[in-house]
Amino acid sequence: MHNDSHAHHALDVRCLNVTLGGRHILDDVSLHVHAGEFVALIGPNGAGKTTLIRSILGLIPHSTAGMSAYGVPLDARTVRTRVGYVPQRHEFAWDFPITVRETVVSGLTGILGFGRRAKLEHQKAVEEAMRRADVTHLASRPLGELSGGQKQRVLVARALVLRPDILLLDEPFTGLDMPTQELLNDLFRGLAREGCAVLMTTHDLISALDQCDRLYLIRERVRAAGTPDELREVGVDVWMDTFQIRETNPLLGALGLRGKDGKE
Amino acid sequence: MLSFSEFLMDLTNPALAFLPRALLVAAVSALVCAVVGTHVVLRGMAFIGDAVAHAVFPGLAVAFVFGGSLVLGGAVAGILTAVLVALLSQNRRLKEDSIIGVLFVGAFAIGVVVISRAAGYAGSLQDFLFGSITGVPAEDIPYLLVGSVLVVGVVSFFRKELVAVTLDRETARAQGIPVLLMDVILYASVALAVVLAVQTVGNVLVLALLVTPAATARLLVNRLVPMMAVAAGLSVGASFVGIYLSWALDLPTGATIVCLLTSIFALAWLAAPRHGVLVRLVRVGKVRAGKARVGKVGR
Repeated sequence: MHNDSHAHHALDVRCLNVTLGGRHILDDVSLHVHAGEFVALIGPNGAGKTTLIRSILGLIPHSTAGMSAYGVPLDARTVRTRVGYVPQRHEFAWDFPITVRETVVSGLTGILGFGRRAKLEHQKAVEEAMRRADVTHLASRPLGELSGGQKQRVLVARALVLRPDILLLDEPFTGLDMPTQELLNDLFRGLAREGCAVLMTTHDLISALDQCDRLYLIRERVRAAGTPDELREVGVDVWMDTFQIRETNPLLGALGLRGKDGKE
Repeated sequence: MLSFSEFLMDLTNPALAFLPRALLVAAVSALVCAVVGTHVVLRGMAFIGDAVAHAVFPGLAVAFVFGGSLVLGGAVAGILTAVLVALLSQNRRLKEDSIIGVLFVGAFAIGVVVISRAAGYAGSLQDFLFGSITGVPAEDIPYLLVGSVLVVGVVSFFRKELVAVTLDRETARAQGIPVLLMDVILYASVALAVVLAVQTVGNVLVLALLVTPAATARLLVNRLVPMMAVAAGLSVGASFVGIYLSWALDLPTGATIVCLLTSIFALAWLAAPRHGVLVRLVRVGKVRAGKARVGKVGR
């Protein structure tokens, strides 16, 4: 697809600093995602995960130290054409009188331009996106009549309609039941296998360590990064410091992290 | 009371030329307000609609005092306001509702002060605030029609973008949609819709034309364009009946139309087929009865 994809990271963020309302949110954050990788951003509430995603999308003013996608600077045009974004579910106006299909079509609004309607090739992309996110059978249902899991899949379909090279997901699993989480995990891994760079924020650490290729532990700074196995070895201190939890927190045991005294 | 057939005869009486004119203006402005109001209701910006409605007033007052066209004066003031509201409401961390509240009641007060300088002030003020069946001069009709086509045209042309911004502002921005421009366009459409309606319905009551038909339609249908059509149909119907009742019983025009719209809303709220209160009560009752039956069988 891209000749230079192995020479450049699909998504590359260098030394990102963000200050909002006088408060330092992100401090010198660097991260990258390869084409074909499924990467998670984990950290406590207020760690800056969402801010990082929004900065990549160009929604937040930041020091433009350097963001690039496949070797080209990540400007508004690149974001619009190559980056798919799945916001947190509560950001969306679910009471709007519109069907699932129309919602997915509305994902094309930015690239269609004023006064243009979706053409045949776009309709194909719409059908494909709905099929991948498993919402085809809901196509003519109004948004107000969807369950939480169905809503999340509609948002994913809406992002996929652009056939993005980079997919950014903000807490896609929050509040979902296990079958929906499994379906979405399969979908995200499948997209990654096809060459998409997938980056998501999540609070579901167990599932992230199980499913993702690499993870970033973030709280204002990148506290640690690596594969699940590498992160299990960084030492329990790093996890305790990132998440601001005590040594006795059951989370550490559930993640299979060794305590200081060597016990599981 | 004047019968309906007598009303129809009055409509064709050349000595009462203002009557069909009022009917035309009321129907057209009801339609425009319903279409724009659908976006207002769905975006939950009724308060901004109210602010714009009030802020149109100083423009009308200045035009009135200096003998200019009310439609043009109101339109200029309305569009200035729309830009101002859009700019003020961009900063989401600020409580924009307070700023808008302060600013636009202030603008309304300026309008009252300006119009108090005009001769025959009390009567004209009342007409502005509550509307008048004789409100629209014949020479304003072309402006009103052109304005109506313009507003409906603009809202239809940008429908895709307006919907995307309402669905999710942040994603819309990431998609490269000019969110600020879309806000200005929507607010300016609200301002123009208000100007179209203000002379028959009045400045205080015009908010009802924006919000009530669209809110009623939302209770009845689940799609955007049908919602606009239902809102427009209800609103035009209520305007027609309202003007008839107002003429037949010598009631204030705007208030009569708004009372009708409010009654229709109440009816829909109670009896809407899927979302109405009555249906919900019946459904709860059925579930309870079902449970009771199951309980008895179990025992």
